Order: sequence, then structure tokens, then C-alpha cells
Amino acid sequence: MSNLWYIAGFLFAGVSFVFLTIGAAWLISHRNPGDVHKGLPYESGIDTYGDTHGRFGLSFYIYALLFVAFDIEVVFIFLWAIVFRDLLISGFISMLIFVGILLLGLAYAWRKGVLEWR
Amino acid sequence: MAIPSTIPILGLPWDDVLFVILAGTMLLAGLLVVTMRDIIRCGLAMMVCFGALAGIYVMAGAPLVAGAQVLVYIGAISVLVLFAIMLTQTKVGPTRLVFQTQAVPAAIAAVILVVVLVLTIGATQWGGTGERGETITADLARVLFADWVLPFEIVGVLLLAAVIGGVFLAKRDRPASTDDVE
Amino acid sequence: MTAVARSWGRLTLAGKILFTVIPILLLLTAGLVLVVVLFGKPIVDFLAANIWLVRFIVAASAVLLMSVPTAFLIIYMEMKVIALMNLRIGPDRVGPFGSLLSVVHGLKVLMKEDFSPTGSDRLVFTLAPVVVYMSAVMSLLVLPFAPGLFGADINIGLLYLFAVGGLTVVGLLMAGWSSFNKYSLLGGLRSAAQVVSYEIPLTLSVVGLLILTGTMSLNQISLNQAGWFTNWYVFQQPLGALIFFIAATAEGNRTPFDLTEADSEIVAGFATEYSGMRFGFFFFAEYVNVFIVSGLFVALFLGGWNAPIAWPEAWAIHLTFDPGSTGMGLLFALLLVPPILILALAAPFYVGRSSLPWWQALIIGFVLFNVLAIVVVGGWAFISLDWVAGLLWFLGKTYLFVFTFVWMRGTLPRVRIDQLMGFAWKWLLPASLLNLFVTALAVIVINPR
Repeated sequence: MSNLWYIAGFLFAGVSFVFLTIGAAWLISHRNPGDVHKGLPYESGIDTYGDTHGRFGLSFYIYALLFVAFDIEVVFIFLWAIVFRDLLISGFISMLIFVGILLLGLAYAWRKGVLEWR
Repeated sequence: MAIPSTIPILGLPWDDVLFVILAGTMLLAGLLVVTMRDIIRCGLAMMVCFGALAGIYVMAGAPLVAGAQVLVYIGAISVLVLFAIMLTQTKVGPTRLVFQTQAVPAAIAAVILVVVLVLTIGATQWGGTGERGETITADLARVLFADWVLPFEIVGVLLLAAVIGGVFLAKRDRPASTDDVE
Repeated sequence: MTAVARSWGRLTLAGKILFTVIPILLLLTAGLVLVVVLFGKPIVDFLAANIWLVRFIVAASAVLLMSVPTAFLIIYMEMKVIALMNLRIGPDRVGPFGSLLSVVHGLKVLMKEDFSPTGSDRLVFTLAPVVVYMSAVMSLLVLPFAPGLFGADINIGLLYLFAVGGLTVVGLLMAGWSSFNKYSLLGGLRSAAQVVSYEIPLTLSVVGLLILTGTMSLNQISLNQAGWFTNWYVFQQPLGALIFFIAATAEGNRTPFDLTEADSEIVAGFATEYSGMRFGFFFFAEYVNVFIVSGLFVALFLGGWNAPIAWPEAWAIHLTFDPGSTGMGLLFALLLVPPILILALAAPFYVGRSSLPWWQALIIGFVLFNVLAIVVVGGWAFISLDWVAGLLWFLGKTYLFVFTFVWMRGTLPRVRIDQLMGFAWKWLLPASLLNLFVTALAVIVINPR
């Protein structure tokens, strides 16, 4: 339980440190109003063109989706690994089946070509 | 002259302070999720809510669940949600409340949920839950891999279904793809 | 002087006030410390009765105070080492061998205009570096620096570390979205996809090690590797260590995987619109993350704080001298030894070189005395305090790895994005699973208890 106090304390310390520093920078720095171009999005020198939050490829989304599946797998594998010495063969087989099932999903994604970046 | 082991006037343990902070953060973040107009900010508030929930898991004596909560829910699922929002959202954001179109059904569902929760809480025997225990991670793992192997494998099948469904939907959106289409 | 005057002129009124108030505050703090020292019996009693509170405050402030100088040191290292690799001189103006240049960079970043572009989501824009730096600070909590020298020994430490490290993705996405810039959005998404892809091999590569140790506490993993260097897990898990190293490079967005900052493609990635202190925190967090990743590699695979050689117990030198037993003599020694030694060390230079003015000889003597004192005190601490020795070993190994990261940046070209993503899913993930099952099989066959 004291670990939770530590985690909460470090979270508080880290956040307040960054905020205080940014606040100090806000206090001591100069300000220059500039003209209308100052706040425009940077696009290598020309004025911004088109919809800024434009659409982007679906590839990003699929990687995130695969990540969710394998991330849940990772939690189970971590649990499995720390008690593996008590399980031995039965644990090995059950984990082989589990990972095999998930690898089917990876193989499907591979076959469909979503792992190719485009 | 040590700090007293309980809060001076109320007589409650100090951990309750942490609980109040976490629960308050969770409630506030949950309220922000449903009331804010910028859907990206709603997603971020949802992450705060998940983080506070992880803290409450630790308080309930389940540090492993808390770790999984942060790793999976904040690190993976919320990121997926953010990706999805950014993928579908092209303009700066709606001017109305995001969920206003379904306000009436949502209100009915909320009322039903409250009734069910109140009934459940009222019907539960809270006798044995007074002391806070700590689940030992290794014990949990032993039980999981000795007695609950089949459900564990079914989780694998569920994840497989999620992956295949996601990939299938994503590929269907792309008729111009040169790959073989089923 | 003109530069100082110009800087002063550019400060806002609040800044001028702050700069005047800070010295006064420092003076007041010194006075407070004096009061505490003189009349501090109740205060000291209170702290002694609540030693956990002292431990927490010391741990938190040590981590916060350490993080920024660590970033400065690694930034300077990177500038100087890459310059030497490129046959340039590198920083050489501020401080000895330019070593204070990164501090000046930090001050410059602090004084820059606090600016957010029009159309940006200011709240999220400010919160993004907070999230990124917070995840770095929270990762430092479980890193074991030396025996007994860690923030907290969490029994699911490794899972905690990966969970907290994964928060960086959220910060990058926030930065990319809130900047209202195409390059930022693309850079943020790109880095998020990259970090997310490499997180799987990173976490799976340590599973073989977890099978061997049977614990997730980093402190315990370091303890398990005591003794000769053959006990280090890198020799039992070479493939795991290699995968971990590659995936960690990608996690930290370092060359050759620094696609997020591919300036030839997407300007500066998620940080395109950032400037001033907000950018500074992204910058610091990157280098603190380099330190964390190196430290984690050392703790997991290279024996943590353990020396490579197991000293036989007979060789251990136990100093039985207790400084407190000398009483008033100690006070006289502390008062008299430094001036006498300074004079003694300065004398040969003054006598030997007649052209040397006396004050220069004194400065030389003072510097030599300090070097001597540091060597003597440091050597004494190294021998008789195991946490000092452990800290030195840990930092030495860690900075060796930081150097490797810098070396890679000076040597390797950047990979293409399609190669990057394919490599994670098609090579590293199967390889880490192979490592996992081979280790499991080996444990079944040999069953080393």
C-alpha cells in the first residue's frame, strides 16, 4: 500500500515540476504579438492549405488494433512466466496453444497484407 | 511524535484520503467525459478515469489488475480510441454535446443501471469485506494456470476473433487494394 | 555585459520581479535552514519519528533534481561525441570543453517566448509535454540504482515500468493532435504507431528472463545476478537482450528508428509547433528516457549494480576507524588539514617556477587538494559503503549504454518507415516468441533451481 503512496507522490511531483517550470517560463519570457502569420501552422514557408486535421491512412489503426490483442497477451504471459517453474510441461503446452491461437491472427493479418506499410 | 496512524478528528485510516482523491478524480473525469464538447478531450478524460480506477484496484489489493489496467486500457485501448477519433473526425469538432442525439435512451439506461446497482448493493452481505487483503500475484497465476486453463484459452480465441474482425473490416474499406479479395 | 542587459530588457515585468525575488527567497531559505539547525530539536525529532516521510521526500526530490542534469549530461555527450566522430570540435566555448553548453541551452529554452499557434487546443497542447515527462519521472521510481537505493520496490515492477512507459504514446498523440498542423499530426500518429508496434517485442523479450528469475521486481532481479559476471542474464538470454536493445532503441525514438523526427520528411514530427519550455520538456524527456532504457537494460541483463568480479570475503577491507571517537581532535583536523594541504601542494609549483604568481600557485594547490580529497573520500566510500560502489557500477554501465546509443546515432542511417513497421511485426515478434519458448523448454529439460 505504501507503494501506491509512492506512485501517487511521484505522479504529483512530476506533474507539478513540469507545470511550475512552464509557469516560470511563462512569467519570465518576453511576448511579441507579431502579425497574423505568426500563429499559422508551419508548412515549410507557405500559408496553410486545406483541412489541417485531414484524413490519414488506415494502417495506423490496424497496428493499434493488433497491439491491443498482443498487449492483453503480454499480461497473461508475464503472469505465466513468473510461475512457470511450478507448471513446467502443462504450462508450456497451454501457453503454446494460447500463443498459437494469437499467431493465427497475426498470420491472417500478414496474409491480408496489412503489415505492409503503405 | 510520529504522525498519528489515523486522521486526527475523523479517526479514519490515512489510506482513505487516497481513496477519496482517487474516487473524486474518477467521478470528475467521468463527468467530463460525458459533458465536454471536444471529443478528443473526452477521450483524454476517459484515460484519467482509467488511471484513477487503476489506483483503486491497488487499494483493493489487486496490483496486477491495476498494472494490466494501465497497460491495456490506457496504453492500448484508449490509444485505439484516440486513433479512431482522429481517423473519423475531420472538422474541429461538433458544436453540440457529443451524445445529445441519444440523450433520452441514455437517460433511461442510466436510471435502470442505478436501480440495478442499488438493488445489488443492498442485497450483498458486506460482512467479510472489512479488512483489506493483498492478492499475491504468484498465487493468482498458479490458480489461473492450474484450474482455469480452458477459460484462458478461450480468451485467446476471443482475441483472435477481435484481430480477424478488425483486419477484415479494415481491408474491406479499401476496394482499390491489389491483394486478393475474398 | 550587453547580452545580460539585453536579456534583462526583454523580460516581462513579472520576470523582472521574479528575478529580483529569487535571491531574496534564497537568503530567506538560508536563514530558515540556520534557524532549523539552531532550534531544530523538535523538528528533527518529528522527522526521525517519521523516517518514511523523509525517505519519500528525498527520493522524489532526488529523482526530480537528477532528471534534468542527466538530460543535460547526455545532450552534451551527444553533441561532443558525434562532433568528434565527424572530425569536428563540437562545443568548446561555455565551460571547460564546452561542457556547460547544454545548461545554457536549458536556460535559453526557459527564456523563450511562451507561444502556442492559433487553432491549437491550448490545454492539450500544454498537457502533452507534462504527460511525457511525467511518464519518464514515474519510470525512474522503480529503477534500482544501488543496494537499497531505489524509489520503491514494487513486486510487479517490470509490468509497472512498461505500463507507465506506455503513457508516452498518449503524450505524443496529444501533441500531434493539439498542434493543429499536418506535420505534427502525421508525426504524432507515426511515432504512436511505431512505439506501439515495438512495445510488443520489448515486453516479450524479457519473458525468458522472467521465467529464469520468477519475479517481476527489478530489485530482486538485480540481486539474483550477484557474483561473477557469468551470472548476468545477458549470457543466458543473448537473443532476448538483443531484441530488447533493438526494441528499446525504437521505443525511445532513437536513431536508426527516429522516424518521428525525420526532419527530411515531416519537419520535426509531433514537436513541429512546439517551442520554449514545452519543447524543452519533450527534449529532456527524450534524453531521460535514453537513461532509463539504458539503466533498465543494465538492471535486467548486465547485473545491475553488481561488480563483474565477486570479491572473496577475505579481501574485503573493513575500516574500524570511527571518526566520532576523536572528539575535538576531529574539529581541529577538519579546520587545519585543508589549508595545510593546500599550502603543501601549492609550494612545489611556487618554488619550482619562479614566474608563477603566488595566487596562481594557490589556485593550483586548491584544485589539486580537491582532486586528492575526492579521490581519497571516494575511494574510502567505494570500499566501505556498498551503495556507493553499487551506484558507481550502475552508472558506469548505464553510461556505457548511453554512449552506445550516441554512437549509433553517429553511425547508422535512418531506416524507412515500411521497413521499420515490417521489422517489428515480422521479425522481432516471432523472434521474441521463439526466445520465450526455447527458454521454457530449456527450463523444463535442465530445471535449474
